[in-house]
Amino acid sequence: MKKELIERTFAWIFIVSIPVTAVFWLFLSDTRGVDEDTERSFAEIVNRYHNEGDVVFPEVDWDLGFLKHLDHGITNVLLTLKESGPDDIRLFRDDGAKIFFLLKNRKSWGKLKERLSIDEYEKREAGKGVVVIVPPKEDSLHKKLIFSRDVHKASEVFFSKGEDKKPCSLVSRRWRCSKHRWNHVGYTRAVVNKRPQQVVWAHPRTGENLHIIFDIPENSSTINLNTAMLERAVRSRNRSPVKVTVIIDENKVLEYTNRSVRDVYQNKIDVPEGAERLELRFKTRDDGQRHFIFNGYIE
Amino acid sequence: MLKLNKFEKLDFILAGLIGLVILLFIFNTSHLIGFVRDEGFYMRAASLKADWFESIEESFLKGNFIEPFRKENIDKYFRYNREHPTLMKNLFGFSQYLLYRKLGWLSFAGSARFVAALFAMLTAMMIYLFGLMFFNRFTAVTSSLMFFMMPHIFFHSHLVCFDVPILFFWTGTFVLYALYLNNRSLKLAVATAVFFGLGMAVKHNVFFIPVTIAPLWFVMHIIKYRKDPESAGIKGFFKSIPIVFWLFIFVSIPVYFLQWPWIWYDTVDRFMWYFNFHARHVNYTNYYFGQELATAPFPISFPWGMTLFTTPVIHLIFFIAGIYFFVERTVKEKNWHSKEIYISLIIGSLFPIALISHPSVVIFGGIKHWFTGYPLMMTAGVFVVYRGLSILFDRFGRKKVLIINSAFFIVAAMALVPLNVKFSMRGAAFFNKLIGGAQGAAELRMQRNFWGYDILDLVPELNRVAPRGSVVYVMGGYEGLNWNSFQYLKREGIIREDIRGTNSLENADFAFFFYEKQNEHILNEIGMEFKTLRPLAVTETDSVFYSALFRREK
Repeated sequence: MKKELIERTFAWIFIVSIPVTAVFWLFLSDTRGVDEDTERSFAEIVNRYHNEGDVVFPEVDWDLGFLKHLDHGITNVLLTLKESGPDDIRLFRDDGAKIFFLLKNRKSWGKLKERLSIDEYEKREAGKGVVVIVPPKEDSLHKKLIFSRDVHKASEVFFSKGEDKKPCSLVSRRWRCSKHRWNHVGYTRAVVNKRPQQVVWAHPRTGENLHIIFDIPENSSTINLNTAMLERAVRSRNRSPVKVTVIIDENKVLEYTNRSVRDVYQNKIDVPEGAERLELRFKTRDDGQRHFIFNGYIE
Repeated sequence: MLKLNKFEKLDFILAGLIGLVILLFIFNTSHLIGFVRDEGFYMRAASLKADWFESIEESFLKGNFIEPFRKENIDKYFRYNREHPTLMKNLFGFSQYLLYRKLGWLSFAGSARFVAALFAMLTAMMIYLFGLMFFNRFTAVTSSLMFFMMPHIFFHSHLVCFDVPILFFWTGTFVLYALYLNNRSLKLAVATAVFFGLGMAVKHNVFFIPVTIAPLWFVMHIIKYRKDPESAGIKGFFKSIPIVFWLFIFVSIPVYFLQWPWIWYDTVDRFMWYFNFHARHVNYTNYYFGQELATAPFPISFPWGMTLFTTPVIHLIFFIAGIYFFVERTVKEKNWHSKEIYISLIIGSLFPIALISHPSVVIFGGIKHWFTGYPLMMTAGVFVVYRGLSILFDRFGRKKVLIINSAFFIVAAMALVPLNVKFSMRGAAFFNKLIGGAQGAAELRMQRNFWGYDILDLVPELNRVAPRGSVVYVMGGYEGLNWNSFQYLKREGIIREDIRGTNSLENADFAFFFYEKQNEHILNEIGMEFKTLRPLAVTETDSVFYSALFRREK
């Protein structure tokens, strides 16, 4: 009797599952995406107000139809809104970036604003959705040089071993140091300690010094320098650290070892009055998967 | 002893017809599915095996029957991809040697994929055998057809890989073992051992079969069998060990050894290399509810959750009903040998999932690594639902009940058509309605797709717009397109012959991008290098984005 009841129950569930399956896959499985008009409006707003370095976060990060309408040159589209917090947004804004939130649901902004601790913004209607534009932090305007944004303005980038000096050449705003793709110095976005950031990729080479030289802007007072290994480096069997040396006008002002861990090494260095030349020097004894980055700014 | 149904003349006809339908269906839909990562390796291995068959032909024609089996020749043709035994690669290679090189009936890839379709056919026939003997003809027919209406199964059935073949041998070994337990015939014991040997020759999954069924028998012996006077004591224990276990040693191992020429020489070293390769297998990063599964311990729920959300709900009901059936029979059966049969079928169904759910077992990828157990529980489940429907509509009489049952299953099959059509080109990306389909899974940050194959919607645009001699980034090394697969896509005429591939973005004019959460940074890199994120073409199902083609802006 009990067995019959169970078998009947399975039969009933089976019967019910038939129309449910058909209806779902015919009519309900594609109802949560962004409609074509809204996608077009998203793109139009971003195209109009976007400046280099700005960042775009779509709310629906799996329906990227708006990309079809996006102008060439807009490449900072991040699909990490779900895992982003206030600090992530702050880092972008500190670096002088404007942030675009492409929201399919107008009501989402209330919660998102609270979660990301945003108090300053501008909203623009876009089809059935809305684009929220968050301006850069005002004090970011006081930053005289932002490493990730301005790395192509470095006066010189080269590798050295003893007296031997191998210069890197500037191609497409990146310093290329060999034919290997990893062997360059340039802007990238990366997840650092689980946080997406704008950084400078600076993969060192075995036994060589990587030198990155900047002219220090006039009246600068402080250098904020962060260095870190990316996740792939941390997970690698190669545990070789990267030795970091900071030199201002031929004087060594900081030296430390960035171990193969997730931590970000944060440094604040006073700039002597009248200082002109900043040299960042990185070295490792084994370059296998030394996915090493830095960012920060001079103010 | 269970009373099993006999395989009659009609069943040979039905099983043969169903097998043929599945063969034609799978082979004729091959063009829908791009070449997955592993196919790149196995097609290359198949090509080497085809060379070996050619060398055998040449040597034999010269009357030299030893040359192809000398160490230097075995090393030449069998060193590549020695991390897997060669039964399937030999079959892929033989098909290529015969149907592509000799007869010219099929293309390079088509000849290898024909073997995959043959194994889909054999799987359907094996399900028919199991369904008929343990349940009834209705269950046999229905299960063997509906099995291929799961998008993941449909997808993998096409591939020049080992996953559906090992599913066939795993299921077959359990079915034959269950039949052997029921009547203890020597023929069945030998058949089970041969099947197990061939299974080992496909992939190592089946190594776990004796490791699970022998302890099961031992426990049954301790609890019950030893009380039989003939099985009592040490002598009785050894006498009562099922002969099939001895045959696993004396038949299965020689079968395994014979099919793999690579281990004919330096046997211990080469086998240990193979063993160590799998014992230290790398983990493939997966996303599971937004959690990046990169290093152990992994969540126990992973394979259970993925099964729950990647199986169409109708099949899921069969799975659960099937497990219920095995458990119910285990409890109700008075005969302990029958209990052992049903417990072994539970093991056959669930052990593959249970194994991957251990937190320290690395995740090798998608559900293909544990779907080996699906046929057993699905078939039993179809029978439970059939019985439930028969009870529900009992009042209409026996003949009408059969018609009603058939009607329900036909309508169920029709209800499965839309989802199968939607995912026909990317079955590995299927998620069911319990998680909200593709959109729900993407929203919850599940692994979106597997194996870097989803390219066929992008290629027409690439072929159309790419200037002669263009270079395309294939994203190799990041769950992208396998380099060999790219070459074979060109060889098959799917990608234009003059288009070259690269794994370096700097050198590329075009780029394929295969979305996975862990590879989002590649999208950024493409954007920065190409100065655009406007795609030329994208692949999507239900608006969910899977892969894209980009062009460098000048």
